[in-house]
Amino acid sequence: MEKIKLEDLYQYHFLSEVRVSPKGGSVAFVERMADEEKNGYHARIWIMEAATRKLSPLEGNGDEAAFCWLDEETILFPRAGEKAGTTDFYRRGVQSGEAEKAFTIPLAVKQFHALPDGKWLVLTRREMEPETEERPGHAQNGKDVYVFDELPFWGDGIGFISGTRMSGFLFDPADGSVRQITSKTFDMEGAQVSPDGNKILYWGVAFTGIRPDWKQLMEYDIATGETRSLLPDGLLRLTPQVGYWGSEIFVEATAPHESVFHSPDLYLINPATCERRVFCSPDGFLATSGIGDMSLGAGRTWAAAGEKLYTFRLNHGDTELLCFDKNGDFHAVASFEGIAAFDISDADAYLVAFREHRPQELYRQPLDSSTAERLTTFHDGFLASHQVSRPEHITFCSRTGEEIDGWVIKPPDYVPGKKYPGILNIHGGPKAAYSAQYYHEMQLLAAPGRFVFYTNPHGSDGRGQDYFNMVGKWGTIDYQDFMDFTDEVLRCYPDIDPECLGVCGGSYGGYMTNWIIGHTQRFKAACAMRCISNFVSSVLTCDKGYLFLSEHMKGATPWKDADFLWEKSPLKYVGNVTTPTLFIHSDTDYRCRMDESLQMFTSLKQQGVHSKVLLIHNECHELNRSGKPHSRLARLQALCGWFSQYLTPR
Amino acid sequence: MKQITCNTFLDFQYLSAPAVSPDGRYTAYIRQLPDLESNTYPASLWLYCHADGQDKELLPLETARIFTWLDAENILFSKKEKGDGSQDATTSYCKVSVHGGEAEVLFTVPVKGGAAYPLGDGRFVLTAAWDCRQPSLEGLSASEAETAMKAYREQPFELLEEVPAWGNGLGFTSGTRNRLCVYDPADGTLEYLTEPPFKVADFSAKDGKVLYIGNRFEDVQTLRNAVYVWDAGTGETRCLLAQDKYIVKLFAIWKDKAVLCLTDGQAYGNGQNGDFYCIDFAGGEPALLTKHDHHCVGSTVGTDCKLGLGAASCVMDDTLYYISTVDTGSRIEALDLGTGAAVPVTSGGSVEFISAAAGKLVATAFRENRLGELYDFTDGEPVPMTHANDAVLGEYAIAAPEYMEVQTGGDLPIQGWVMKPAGYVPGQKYPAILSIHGGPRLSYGDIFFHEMQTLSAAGYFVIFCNPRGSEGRGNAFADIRGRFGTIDYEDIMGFLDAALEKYPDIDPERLGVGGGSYGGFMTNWIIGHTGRFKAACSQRSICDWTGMEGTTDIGYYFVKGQIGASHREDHEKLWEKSPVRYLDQCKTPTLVLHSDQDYRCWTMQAYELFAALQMNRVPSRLCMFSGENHELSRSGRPRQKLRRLEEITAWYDKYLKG
Repeated sequence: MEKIKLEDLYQYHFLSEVRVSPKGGSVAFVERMADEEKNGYHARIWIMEAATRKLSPLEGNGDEAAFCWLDEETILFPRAGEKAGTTDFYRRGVQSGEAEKAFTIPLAVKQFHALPDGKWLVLTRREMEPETEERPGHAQNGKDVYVFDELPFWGDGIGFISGTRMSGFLFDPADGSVRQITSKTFDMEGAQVSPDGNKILYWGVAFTGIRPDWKQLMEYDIATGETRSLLPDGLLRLTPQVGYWGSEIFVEATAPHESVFHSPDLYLINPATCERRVFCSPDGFLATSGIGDMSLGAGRTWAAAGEKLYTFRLNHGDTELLCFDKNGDFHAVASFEGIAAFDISDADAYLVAFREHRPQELYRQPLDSSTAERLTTFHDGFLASHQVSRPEHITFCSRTGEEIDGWVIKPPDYVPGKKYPGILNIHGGPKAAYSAQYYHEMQLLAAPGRFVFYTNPHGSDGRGQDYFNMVGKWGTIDYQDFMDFTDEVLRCYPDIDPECLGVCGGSYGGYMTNWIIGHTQRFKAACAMRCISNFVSSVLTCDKGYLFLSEHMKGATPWKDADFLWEKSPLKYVGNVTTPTLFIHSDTDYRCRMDESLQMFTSLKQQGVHSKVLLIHNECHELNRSGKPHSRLARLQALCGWFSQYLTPR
Repeated sequence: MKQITCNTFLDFQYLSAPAVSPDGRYTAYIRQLPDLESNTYPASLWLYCHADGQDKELLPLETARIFTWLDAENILFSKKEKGDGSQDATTSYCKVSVHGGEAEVLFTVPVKGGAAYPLGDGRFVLTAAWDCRQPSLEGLSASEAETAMKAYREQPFELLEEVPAWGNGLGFTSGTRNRLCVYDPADGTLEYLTEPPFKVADFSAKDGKVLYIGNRFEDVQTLRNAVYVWDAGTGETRCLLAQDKYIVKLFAIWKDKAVLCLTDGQAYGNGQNGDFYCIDFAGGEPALLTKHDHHCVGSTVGTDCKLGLGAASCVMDDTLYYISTVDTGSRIEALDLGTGAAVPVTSGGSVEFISAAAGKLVATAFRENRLGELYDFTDGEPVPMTHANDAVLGEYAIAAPEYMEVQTGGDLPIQGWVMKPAGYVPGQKYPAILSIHGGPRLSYGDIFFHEMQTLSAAGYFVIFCNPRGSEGRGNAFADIRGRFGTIDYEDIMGFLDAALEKYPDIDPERLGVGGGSYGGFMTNWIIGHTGRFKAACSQRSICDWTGMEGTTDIGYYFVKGQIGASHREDHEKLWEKSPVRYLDQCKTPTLVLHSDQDYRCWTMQAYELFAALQMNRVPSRLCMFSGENHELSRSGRPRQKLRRLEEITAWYDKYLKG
């Protein structure tokens, strides 16, 4: 049995985009694997016959990462067009056969939806005022100089967005025509074609200047070309869970500026009258799942089937498939360690999910809650040959009385009585949650002979809004929970050497790592990743700083309650740090800017504390989950190497 | 007469690196011309003959921007051969004769080398870049070395291990150390004179001696320098000055001594002007030669029309010639190394680069509102040698700045100028731009400044001055440590008020303000403290001192030194001085200009500033110049430099011309 190593990243299969065929005879999904030579991900589409469970991959170029069903036998998938800024769509029979080009759209398509008559609705990001004439010998916008004139001006994982909008276009393959249906300033987030095919529902917001926190819900009549707004402006902040439930429209939304501390309500809207009602307030956001590094790609997060609506949501450390009815009653159909995407067919849900501490597989879960069956065996071989340490679930009692979940991974080949280093790993968010899910980074940290432990303290998801509300409270009850959890882990696992502890985390977890090392010396090594250290700068430079971060800080800005921002900033306490700390940051992370790591690093060097920054090029905030493989490995190698260097057991 | 526009600088020629030949017959120098199409400044080596005044191009240069006289007839310059890294690079050194002809490669050194100087024994001394983190290529075959270097270059990350981790114009510097080496073309041997972690800053070679300064550091680089001398004859190195006390502002070899301008920075901080000392090569304490701590050694007078490298001092016989900034200009001073007496040699305008040999003293200088040209200062009165820009300037109407002095709150009156708009008609009202220089220990003069000429030609009064904090009036006047945004602000506003009074045709309702670096800080400070300006252009600026401290190549000492506080101690003081704090009061439409490789004032300053302006609904625009750095306005690539001027003029036109 081999121990888990860095390069096992190339062994994993990441599944997504599950779609049942129109008549339910087949299920298709996307499978990706990290490819070392191309330093990217090789993606291919798999087809499973529902009746026989026969699975076949459609071999292609390795770039087939999105698709839709054209009919029961045929799928359509896009490829970046030969000419820049175009997308080629290919048609392919699922039984066999080559892909043949169906049409080319003169846009870089980000989303596509089938319309009646073979037409398509596509979304693409475009400049509102494209530079029409290129002046030779002059600085070109978007190349020699970047111009920003609105907020936000960048989006993590997207790039510079000032002056651009995701716009919706109707494309007719018959004549190749493209017609914009959204207004110039409308920024589209999603769309769905109505069940009768006559209307397009879409959501997002039209704005100039500063992008507001509320959204608009629009209905476009394909025949007449008219657009109606279905919601008053300024009322609701929609989540991505929007769409038709029968003839009504289902919407999950909070009030603007409340999403960091308030659970959403579920609405049903009559598109004809615009009447809306809240049919459920389930205290927790839908489409939430355990956090990890073994999921790549997207997919459906909810599905309406007759009078029922299915979605999934965290419940403590579990992710439950839920069934709602229009009265607002809901129950859990089944529980998994994590769900990435799913689709419904008659009596079953097909899910890409984590179970039994196994990387993703495809599961068939009967909607009557009887036992799920695993349909794929992608990781059989890997699990048979590799020594995986299963996390053990523990709980501890917080200062405010809650029983808090945590997990401990023992070192492989654990010998009771021998002393081992331990690492506290902290998730981001803070509104996210760990689970028992297979986690490559955790296994790697444990592999050389360490305990790894992690918890869902106050601020985490899965226990409702009172638990996840951390407004104004960063660095208080959460910090206390981490210290109490560490104490409990040491108590339950006396073979962890309390003098040999490390701490690490990303994003909010990087913030908390910075906070921890400034408030206690109990850790002998730390790694803060894509962190926050200074709220004064991060409120301004985070792509959603003026919303998300400022809201977390009770609406503080550098000119209003700046003292509070500094009070909450780990940089304020950096003078207390003695812990050798590695910072890992991506240079195009627009969620938490690299400046946050640099400020801590410079101070630590001046203080004589061992510190380095691993600055990864051309990656965003999602590096650890979806970055290029070489960069992911460089990050993991530096993380593990740091602890190997500084956590030497006695 | 044509009016100067944003484009006019594209027709300028930029002179630099003058060097008099050992026998005084020639001065060789470099000319650069902006080329918009290639977006570069192609350079060529020129030769001026003192006997007949003939001034001609010798040959084009690829990469070299500095060169050496090999002997009275031949010039040596470098040509980068290959290799991006340091350890797998080679640099060729070419010789060209003053009589013309092709350059021939004399020797090729297996380093990424800087300018090479002959030691007189056939060997050459040069600096070599060194990256401590590159894999060792010793013992590897050529293809193995190539594979190793390829893997190193394709690493998808940068590892930062020291402070500073990057340098403006240099990129990432963590783990890099310039080394001094000696190359013998006879047998191809390369001998390193210095070892990492010692970093060589600069050196001078004369009569078989090499004097060099640098410092040794591992975690945090100090500003203090050590001084060493190496004897080519004996091969011995001696430390003349340990690295614990002084910042070296100037150094030169005179006979068997090192002449140094040193400061300990105790009285006035790191910017303090220094005194002249001699240290014997045989060792001993530094002996004070003369005090010079009133005026800056070097020229701080700003212009956007200088480009290139060159020397700011040189020794000829028993005299040290150096540039000193005094009042509103910079001049050459001659220091008698025997007596310690210093006298000015030139007056008026500013001096950029000097050279002296065989009785000749020449320099590139900006005089009488002309562009930089070469002048012969041997007999005191400047004699123009080059006329590179006469024709260009002859086509244009050029505004002359009008000097005025204003008494504000301090001991000395504030010196400054007002430039009238082109086609000025008394009685008509005009908008005006207040321009603020950087530093703060830099200065304005009355020398040619293309940006100001462009604004004047566009119909603006241009107002600029040297408030307290500026260089040229001595250490006390320049010392505003801990007082940014107080007396400097008062002086600037006071000068503006006086200009408005003296020039009533300036419309006080149509004022713009702009500046770069410290001038950008001051622009940011101004827009948060007064609504009197209707447009602002904040360039490569500072708005958040905490961020400045933790992210830039000088911040880690500059902030504590200049603001008197650090985020670890007295953060409140740092915050009180941070312009971003006041931007909820801002009403002034503001253009923010920055470069994405500006490691002096890191981009976070611009992003914070722009986000703050947007959040406070101030009309604002941010232009981030790709691949440019803190020097954009002076040595930025032609397209970017042009675009910068277009953005500035367009912004002012939009908000001040209505």
